[in-house]
Amino acid sequence: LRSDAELIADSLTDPRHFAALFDRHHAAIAGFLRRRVEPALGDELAAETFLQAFAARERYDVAHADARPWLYGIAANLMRRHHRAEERRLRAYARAATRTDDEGAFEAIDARLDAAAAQRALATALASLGPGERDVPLLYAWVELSYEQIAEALGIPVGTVRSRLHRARRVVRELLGRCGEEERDPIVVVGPMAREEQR
Amino acid sequence: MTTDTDELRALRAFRAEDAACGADASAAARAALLERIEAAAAPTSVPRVEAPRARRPRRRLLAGGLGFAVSAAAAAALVVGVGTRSVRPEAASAAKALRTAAGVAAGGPDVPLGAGRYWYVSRELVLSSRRFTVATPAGGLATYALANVRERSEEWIDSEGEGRRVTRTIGTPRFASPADRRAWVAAGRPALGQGTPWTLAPAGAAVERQPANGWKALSGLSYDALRALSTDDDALAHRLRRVAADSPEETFAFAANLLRSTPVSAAQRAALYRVLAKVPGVELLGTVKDERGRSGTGIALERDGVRMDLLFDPETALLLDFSRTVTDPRQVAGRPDANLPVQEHEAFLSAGVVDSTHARP
Repeated sequence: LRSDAELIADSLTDPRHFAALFDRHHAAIAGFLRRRVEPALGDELAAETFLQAFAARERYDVAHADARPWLYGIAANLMRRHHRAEERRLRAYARAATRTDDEGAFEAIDARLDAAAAQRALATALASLGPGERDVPLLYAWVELSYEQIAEALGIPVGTVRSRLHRARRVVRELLGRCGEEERDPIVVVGPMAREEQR
Repeated sequence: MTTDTDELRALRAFRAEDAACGADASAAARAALLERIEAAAAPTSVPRVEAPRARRPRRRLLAGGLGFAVSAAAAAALVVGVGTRSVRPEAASAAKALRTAAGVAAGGPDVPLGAGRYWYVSRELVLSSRRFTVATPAGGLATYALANVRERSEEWIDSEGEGRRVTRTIGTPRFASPADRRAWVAAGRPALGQGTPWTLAPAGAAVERQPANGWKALSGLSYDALRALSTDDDALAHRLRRVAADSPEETFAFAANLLRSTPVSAAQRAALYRVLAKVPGVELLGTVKDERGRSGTGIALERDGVRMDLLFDPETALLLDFSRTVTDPRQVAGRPDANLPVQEHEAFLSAGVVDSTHARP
């Protein structure tokens, strides 16, 4: 399997090689963006990410075999132009209960929390972060980039990644805890959480 | 690495249901990239002039260009009545026309879908910017756009989302631009309308299949959720904002979609018109004819480089026509092709409740 860097290098002589980079990463990039704004806008931004990446491929540092930090950096940059749309959507989530149609996926992940309350808490937490601050926890939790890769993607020091992630997790933890106190039925607090408390 | 704690697990699951990109959007993104790739691979073969076109005044843009009769035909679907563009329309008069329509809708028919009954909707969709990606004899890929492709569809759907859908291609497709024709010739002149992401039925042939995704495809809501929509303006507007997005244009588009393609009750239709009446920025176009010559009341909302036009019959409050047109590609993410400004255009022919998947109202 050719690395991302090799594909990009090859695309300098034959641009068609760049299509393989799209096939490898488009679904994940689109997913990252669709979860942040209105899905249709996320799709458009994902398409634009690859157009911009293609135009900028000559500047790619081929010492980095994995192009994800570069691609997510472009995506995050595009996302920043739409931070108001993102915040509007987060506030709508924070105000409302979860959509009645598709809360199943969420509930399956963490049955101990009431799905709607947890969504509200998460949306509130994410909305309280600045646009630049939000990128870090989302790249970490959704994309599973390392601290170093997030630093590379966003062009910030690794120490800043650590501190932003720490703050984001604290805000999320606090709000989830609060929603638990208000809305979680104490009887359902069993399983992994109980085990963690015993450690 | 830190351990997978509660907050990380919750964060990982947040909006995971929205992550999956549809095949159409993915193929469109790929086709847009391939177009750039091909242009870079053969820089003299596809001279594109997007930027100068994007700066044209809208009137020129909507009128289309040499040989781009597609866009002109689709954009001309709504022919604004005498003088309506020369007088700045009043938002207040749009609200008044919509509130009047709400009154008419409230007295309309209300037939819920019982067992063995089907919602029938017939419409004509203008596919004005469909792109096809095909393999070339040399083993590469080529992409070209066809325009003036029209599809007529009839759909029968029961309360569970099961039923029947028949589509047929009508009209004569054209190439969207000379460059698209050159790309098709370079690809070895494959059968028109074949390829990904979209394959058209041969002209005149009907293609029959199950309705895709049932009610979700029509409105994003299940039948039960549709019928449970509030008839209180504020509660309904709030619900629409939650399902669509908290913006006037999405509220407008979503309300229009519910009005045009779903069996909401008479009271709900009335409430949808009242919600539209409260959307800021909606303009009254006056009496408008669609390309079939049907006359109705036209309203429009233009925001962020996209304009939505809606035409309804003031006598029955039934929707006749809906279109979404890019007026300024520079403001639209993904930089849509200035030659193909009409994103979607649907004419609504008839709708109603019937007893079988072969009956029509």
